[in-house]
Amino acid sequence: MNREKNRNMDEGRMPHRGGKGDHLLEELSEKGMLLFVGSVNCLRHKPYRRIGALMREGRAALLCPSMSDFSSGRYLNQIVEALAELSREHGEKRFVIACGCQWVILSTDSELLKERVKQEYDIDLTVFEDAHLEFGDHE
Amino acid sequence: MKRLWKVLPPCLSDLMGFEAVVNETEGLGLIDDSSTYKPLMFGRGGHGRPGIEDRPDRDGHPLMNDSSEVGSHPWAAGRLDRGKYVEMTGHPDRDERAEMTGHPDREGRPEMEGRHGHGGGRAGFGRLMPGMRVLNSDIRNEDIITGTEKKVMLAFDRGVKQLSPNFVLLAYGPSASMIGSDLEYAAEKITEGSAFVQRTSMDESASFRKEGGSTSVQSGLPAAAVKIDGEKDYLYGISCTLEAMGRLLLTPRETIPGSLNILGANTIDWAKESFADLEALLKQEGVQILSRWGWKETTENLKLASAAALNLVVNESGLRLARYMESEYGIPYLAGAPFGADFTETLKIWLKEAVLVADTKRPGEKQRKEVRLSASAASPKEDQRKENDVDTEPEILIVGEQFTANAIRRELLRRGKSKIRVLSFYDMDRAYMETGDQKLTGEDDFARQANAASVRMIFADGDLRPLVKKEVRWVRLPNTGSMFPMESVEAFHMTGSALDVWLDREEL
Repeated sequence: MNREKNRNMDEGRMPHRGGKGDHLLEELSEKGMLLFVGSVNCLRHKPYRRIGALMREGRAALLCPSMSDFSSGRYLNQIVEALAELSREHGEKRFVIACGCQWVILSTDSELLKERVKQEYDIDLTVFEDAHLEFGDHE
Repeated sequence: MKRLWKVLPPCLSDLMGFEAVVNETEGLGLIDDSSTYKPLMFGRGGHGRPGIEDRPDRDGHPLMNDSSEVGSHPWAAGRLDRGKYVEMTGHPDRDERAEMTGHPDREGRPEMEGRHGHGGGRAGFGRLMPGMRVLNSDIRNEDIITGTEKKVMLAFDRGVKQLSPNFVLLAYGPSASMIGSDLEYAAEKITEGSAFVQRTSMDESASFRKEGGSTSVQSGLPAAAVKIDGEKDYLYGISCTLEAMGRLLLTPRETIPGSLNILGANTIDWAKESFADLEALLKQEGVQILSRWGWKETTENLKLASAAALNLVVNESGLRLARYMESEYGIPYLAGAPFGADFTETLKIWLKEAVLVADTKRPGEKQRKEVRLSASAASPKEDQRKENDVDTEPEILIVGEQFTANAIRRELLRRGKSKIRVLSFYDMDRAYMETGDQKLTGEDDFARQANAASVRMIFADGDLRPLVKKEVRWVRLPNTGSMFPMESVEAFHMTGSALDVWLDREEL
């Protein structure tokens, strides 16, 4: 079971229900600075409860686009801008994006985004699709 | 960058504001969302911070759950405050809770006991956690394609069976909002009482049988959709939810002279002692309190609200409802947090005037507008305002819920301070803003203001401190609207002279 969860993590997917819980955020942030992209409401889930501490340590940040940002596709540019700003301020080149359900509904092309930030800012990006629509609550 | 948060932990969302309101009523809240909503204080005690029940109060006594102080309902202990947290962690009155739900689980225990353990545990699919009256529709990927309506109706059915609510409010989760779920239609169908039977398919019937259900509920319950989707702050959510409740439950009534409603005192911003003192103060003045919007209240009392001679709005989140009740039922309102001895005395005078003027009216008749004292009356005295409005750089910033911040400014002005600005990351109402006050759109906005050379004192959430790169006097304000605060300050007592005592202690 643990091996399966670890494989999911390595392949850039959130673990199923009964997953990493408390340690998820730390594990993600070890792969680079964490940027959560989604509604503030999505942060109520257990894995995010240490987000404040990580923010204070400069290891995490939140990008909360509006519904119109999502529906117009503006959020893609906002993500690139945010990554560039964080990279400049923290001197960080490795980032992990954890995202809400909007990402999944809009079928966001993570690969295209990774290529773009690599080319424009030399940033290595990992994307974790935090899809509650697929897995429900992850405890 | 706007919408990018690098320092300040996230605030509670509008859907959490919805939850905070609905949990204090006899209604049912349904959020068209994929994952469960838990009690708001659920995570706050166990995340590397002392549990709320472990911390002493201001006088050094351990915090205890004392339901006897609040309301007259047997379930009044379930408030969203430290009492509620204690209840969750294993001290509920089991018999009362059983009476409330009437649905024992497989082992014969009442459905909503605090048996999920300290600071953790799942409620399970469709099972409500202690103190919760809000369910989610548990939508999944396929519902994004086919629509969420069936899941909403299933959740409604479960909620009715568990809680026997007498009204229903629906709200959009972010994903449901993105696909344009039609919750207004769902609300209509719930009210008509025929929705589910007509639309049940074979597979849904099967899932019902699996869950132990047999037939769907023929409700006819009043229901409405609240247009919030998890994107904004909790105050906005409370505000929209209260207005939706007003629109749903109120009908014209004969005015009861000398009566009022308290609007906006919500369990996130208001300390239990503050509310108890407000009630005592109003009773002392011979005012009859008909209903409390945002606090624990029965549907019967909420419905009585349209008979009030006056509304008292004590938090920004009550304004939307107050304006609706003014336009629809002609009920005037007074607005301002009753914090500070000086303002409380003024409030008493206004109350007498307002209640005297707001005489009996016929049902549906609009009341005379001259009793509306709201904006100007709740502001500082004119000479103080002039001094504060001088177009210079501010010396003192107060960052927080608008009415609370205004009350602190009012008291500071009375004490001879000036050049004070109120800022907020939350909803702010223009009518109650002074020159220079500002709704903050992000951390950069705050940092720019706070790092101005003129600023020497800041009243704010301690978690904002890393954004200030200069020496200032920092006075920490409660941050109960923060989802995962690093420096937690619970709401404290400010009603009447309690604000003066606090400011004295801070040597201000």
